Amino acid sequence: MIRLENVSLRYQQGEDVLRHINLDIPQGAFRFLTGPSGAGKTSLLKLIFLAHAPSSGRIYLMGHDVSAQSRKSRALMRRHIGVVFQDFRLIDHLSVYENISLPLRIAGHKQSFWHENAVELLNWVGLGQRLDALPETLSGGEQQRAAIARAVITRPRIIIADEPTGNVDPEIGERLLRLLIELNKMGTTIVIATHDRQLWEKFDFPRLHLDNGQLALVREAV
Amino acid sequence: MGSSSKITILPPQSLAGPALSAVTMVMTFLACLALGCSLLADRAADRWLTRATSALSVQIVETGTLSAEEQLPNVLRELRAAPGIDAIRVLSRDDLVGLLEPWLGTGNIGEDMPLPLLIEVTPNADNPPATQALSAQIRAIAPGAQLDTHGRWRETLESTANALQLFAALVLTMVTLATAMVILFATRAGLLANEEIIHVLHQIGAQDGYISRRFEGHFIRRTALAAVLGLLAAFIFFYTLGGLVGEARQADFLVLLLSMPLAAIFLSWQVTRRYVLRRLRAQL
Repeated sequence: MIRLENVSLRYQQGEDVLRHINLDIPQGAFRFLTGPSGAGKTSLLKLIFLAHAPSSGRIYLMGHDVSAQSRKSRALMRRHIGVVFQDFRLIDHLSVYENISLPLRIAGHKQSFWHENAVELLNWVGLGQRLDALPETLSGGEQQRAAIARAVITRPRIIIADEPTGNVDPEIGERLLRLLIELNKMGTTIVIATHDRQLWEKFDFPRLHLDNGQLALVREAV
Repeated sequence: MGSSSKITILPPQSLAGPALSAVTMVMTFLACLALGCSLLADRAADRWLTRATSALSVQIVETGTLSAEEQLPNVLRELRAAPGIDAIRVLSRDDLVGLLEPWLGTGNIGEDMPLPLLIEVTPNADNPPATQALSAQIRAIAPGAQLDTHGRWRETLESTANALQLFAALVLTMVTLATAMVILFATRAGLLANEEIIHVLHQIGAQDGYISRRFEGHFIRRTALAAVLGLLAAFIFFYTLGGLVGEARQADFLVLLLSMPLAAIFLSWQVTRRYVLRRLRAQL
């Protein structure tokens, strides 16, 4: 599902942020990505969710060599990758309902389809009563759930979450993770970058550790 | 619940507003002015040129040996024999006085003032005479006679009309460039202001064309509204001018001015689209 071959990344003339990364995450897997601040976790995730191109090496997603894809094809591939940003990145002037339905509107689905899906999903994440609320009126936990709802509404094959529990209290963080585990059980490949030790110790999933631009598998899949 | 099928993804306040509209309105007004004045001048020149080329005249003055009247029969005979002439009319002294009075004043032309003889010649519209040859023939038989084709006046009129058209074209070019630059800067500012939203849109699978259309829609709406106001201002200007130049109020003339707001909308669309797509393609 996600395969990186000898991938390195550097920004402009700087030093390598990632060095010779090799990674293979099968379909339906759940991985934590850990490492200290500045280790390159976000950079690695950006490569996987196609926000950056590697300086060298190859990335394969869903069986396709990303570098061989056209710009249009990469846009279509992104529809199969749900991203939960650390800072949520909900669009401020759109309501929760509009934010959540946006990926389906962009994909050109009929109104009845995205309406039904958005309402169902918002009920599922417990925001059924806050459809018209603007993001700034939501609590951190509610914003986080809205961000997850937006990431999963297209039923993506991969979900990438960057420090999803970083801005919420531990209880909400745990609920959030259970939500992602539910999605994983339905076959979605999930990669979560976190430096929250309690989280990866509580949930028994393989952990990839990134330090100083290099990757190591800390715990194998059971 | 906000289940409307239409949402404004780019907040309008993050994109250029009244300033862009004001500039576009003024530019459209100026473009209409340039086009309208050029059209009016061109039509007037055409009309005058048609009149000038559809009339010839022969002026006979006395020479040292022959009076104008003595030369007249020979000139008339030559004109009647020449091909391509439909009518000949010798202007009476009263006609000549009537022509001169606007310059010399009523009652200032005395009976004793010597006036040349003037023959009005109407050439055939389809098969006009060869004026150079005719002029030489008339000169040969009447040394005091001169065929006037109004050539110098026509040339002046033509060069003036051409200069006006060139001026209008220059104004239109400058207005187009200025409008394109204003829209370009507004689009660039809009892209910068909405960088984060664009990033989110890309990440949730929006293609460049989808993002570009959000900008195009905004700027086309803005331009269309401003351009219509500019056109209305131009209509008012030309309607007022119509008191002096009747043609400025004619429907077929006013309809031509519609091309300017349409051009402004097209320009806005193309500048926005090309710039946004170019900038988006520079990203991953």
